[in-house]
Amino acid sequence: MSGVWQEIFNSQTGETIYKAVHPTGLPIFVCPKKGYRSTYAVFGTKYGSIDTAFYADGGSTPTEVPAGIAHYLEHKLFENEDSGAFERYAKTGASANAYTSFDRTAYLFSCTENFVDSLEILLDFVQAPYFTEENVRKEQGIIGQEIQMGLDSPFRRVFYNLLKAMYHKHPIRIEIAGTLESIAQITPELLYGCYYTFYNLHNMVLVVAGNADKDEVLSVADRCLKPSENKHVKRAGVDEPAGVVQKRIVQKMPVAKPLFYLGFKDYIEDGISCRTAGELACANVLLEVLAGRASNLYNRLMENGLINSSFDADYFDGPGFGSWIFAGESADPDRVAEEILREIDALRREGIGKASFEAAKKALYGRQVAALNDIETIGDRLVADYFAGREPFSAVDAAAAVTLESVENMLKSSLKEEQMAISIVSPEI
Amino acid sequence: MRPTQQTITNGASILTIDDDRFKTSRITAAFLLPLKEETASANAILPFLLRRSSVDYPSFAKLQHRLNELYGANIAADVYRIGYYQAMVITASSIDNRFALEGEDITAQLAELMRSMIFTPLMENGAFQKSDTEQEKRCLAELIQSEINEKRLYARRRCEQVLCKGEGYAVNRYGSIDGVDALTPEGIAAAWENMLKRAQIRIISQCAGGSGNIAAKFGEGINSVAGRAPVTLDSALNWQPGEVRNVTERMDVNQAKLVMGFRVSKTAKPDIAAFRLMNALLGGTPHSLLFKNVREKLSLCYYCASSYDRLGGVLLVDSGVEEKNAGLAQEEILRQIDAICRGDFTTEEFESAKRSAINQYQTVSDLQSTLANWYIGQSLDSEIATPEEAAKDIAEVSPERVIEAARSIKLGAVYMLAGEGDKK
Repeated sequence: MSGVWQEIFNSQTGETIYKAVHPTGLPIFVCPKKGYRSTYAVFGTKYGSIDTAFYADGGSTPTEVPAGIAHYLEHKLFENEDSGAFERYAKTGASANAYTSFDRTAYLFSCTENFVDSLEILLDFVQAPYFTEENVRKEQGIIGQEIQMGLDSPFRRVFYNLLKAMYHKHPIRIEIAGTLESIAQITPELLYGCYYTFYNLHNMVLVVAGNADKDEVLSVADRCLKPSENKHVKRAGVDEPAGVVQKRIVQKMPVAKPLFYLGFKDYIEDGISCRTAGELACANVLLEVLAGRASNLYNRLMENGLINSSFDADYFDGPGFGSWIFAGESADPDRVAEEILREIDALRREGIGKASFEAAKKALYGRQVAALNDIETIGDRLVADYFAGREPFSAVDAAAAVTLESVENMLKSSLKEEQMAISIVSPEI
Repeated sequence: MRPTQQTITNGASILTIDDDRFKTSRITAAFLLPLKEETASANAILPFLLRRSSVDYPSFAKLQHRLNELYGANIAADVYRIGYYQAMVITASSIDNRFALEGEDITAQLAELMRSMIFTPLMENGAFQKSDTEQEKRCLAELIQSEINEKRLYARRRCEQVLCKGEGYAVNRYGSIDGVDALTPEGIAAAWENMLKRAQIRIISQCAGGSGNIAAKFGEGINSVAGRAPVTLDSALNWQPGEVRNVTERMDVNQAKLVMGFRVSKTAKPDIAAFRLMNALLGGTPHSLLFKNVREKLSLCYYCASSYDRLGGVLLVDSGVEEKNAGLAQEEILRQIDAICRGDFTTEEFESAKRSAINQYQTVSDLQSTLANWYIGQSLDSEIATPEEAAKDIAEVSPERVIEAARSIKLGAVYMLAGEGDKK
């Protein structure tokens, strides 16, 4: 049985991951963690909120569906014809959940007992859709409240507003859960259509991390996976312009002081591809040098009272999108933007110092190694990396391999003022 | 595994968790003092101010650069509420020595850094530096102000304040905006001296191969404090049931946040395991009575959940609903609690809650941060329990004990944060 497994060993960290492709077409990754009491399993499909237009079965015209359908489907799959998934998990004690992101949907559980039974439930309910007029309608009240809750969250507002300000066409400008209007259009037929397109095992992945035996996982897969036709579903690429929609967007909300999200948009030529592990490592080192806690920028902004400890910088990426985001709270977000631009300019002129590059690289490496402590992080990253076409552990290896030259090259080609937009949520406008 | 507990000196102890499963080592230092309105702000600023710098790295930027060199080691400061106590907590974590590319002893360096930060901070003329003080005062005040941003958390906090008015439990662990504004470098220095002298100190070491020099470093620090006289910890709660307090506040929000606060009327030796299980059965899981009825059956909300804090004897139930449905949600919540009091739940529901609760406690040890918090949460206890022992206690709870627990809670407050437009 074990002959089907490919062993992926990482010498930097001593971790091993096993990979197999099940005869039904489903790729399976298992990351055993010695001494861990719990096991984390995640069953994901390459189907997220951005998949509102796609080519199914090699067709030439894209199918278009209402916003929020991937997330709606996630809610509804928990209800099968004869029982609900949560009631089934209740019999095993596993802690179960699911999430929908821009580019994927994942069903997961963690447990310390009855792993095999829980894995059977996971594989089973995700493969058994049951949508009726009545149960679809009932969910509108619940998701409606979830959307309302999101409308009250200043952090979500400031983030989504930035995406709207940066992207003309790319569907990340639409909220993951959709809107009250878009979800009102969702019917059982639409849900079944999307389900059978995206929930075929060739478009999915199973990851198990923690207290796990790979052959046990495989035997559950043999029992529970149903052969599924490869639908050859393809994401529709987006012809997204390089520039932003608007430079500044402001919304009034009850917050203590203005929240800001400042973004620099990267141009992704084909409108569909994902960043490589090497590119992400470069971006993260650059962000650490530019805006990390040891940086001149961070300390100057802090000393001048322009930011507080909530300040953070991150590279936000996925299929056909990538942007540099600086976020925080400030009485004067526009001045923060000016200071960031000035610092980028100075770094371009003066170059990146060797000592600060080395320290930033070590910091990134340490963070990537530390991330392997957490079986949930391991599981979710393996799913994300697999769908993005990145190898397991590539983040650790890439962090160890970043060069100063590659970071400087990235600095030259990105973080341009003309691709910048700022979103502000303010108590007063 | 069971950690070893060792007394460093009077009122200070170290808990050593020798664990080689993780890539990182972690040192946690917690200083406990009574949580009081008058002293909360000055105490709260201390961990933030102390973790800014040290004698060897005399500015935040220099210190951060050094931490980056130590493979992105992280030193974090925060303040917790442990029942009626305020815990000033500083945590250092870094990749474990085994993964250092050049064989450095990172953990030993972090232990020394922590000792120097906490016990010999940068000061001028017996007071904290003015510019550092101003920066941290601003950050702390903004942290308190920003509590309004997350409406669910804000509503829960407000409910606790209404429910536990006049008790240490109701005091904000970060202090108050006015309290922070009034702080001076000299006043903070006095609070620092008081903390070293009076606080109960709990150190937690989570490293592979034992705690190395950590106990010695903290011992050195603590023994340098003159006239140490640590406070006596007391976990007893003082609370008298009274009228239910109803408070509705309005803000520009789309969704109302309903929070119902309950208190355990029997404050002497409550049956903790039974309360934990009762909470799981009521609203601690996605197959709990509240989830099944308020969300799934009535479709009133996206979340309706309960949480229990044994240290305050408080159980909160909260839900995000449309304001016009808040009455319905409230009735249903009370109906579900009443059902538990009457024993009107199935064996399956009971056993499911038990399995989930056991699973939850058994998972705690698989993350260093959750395990450290687990033990900090036991700072007031004379004997510590491992998460596995807590799971075992829950396994032994009978339905009768859960019924008894449910019968001993009393509704004390109903708080609602509602929109401005729904009701005129």
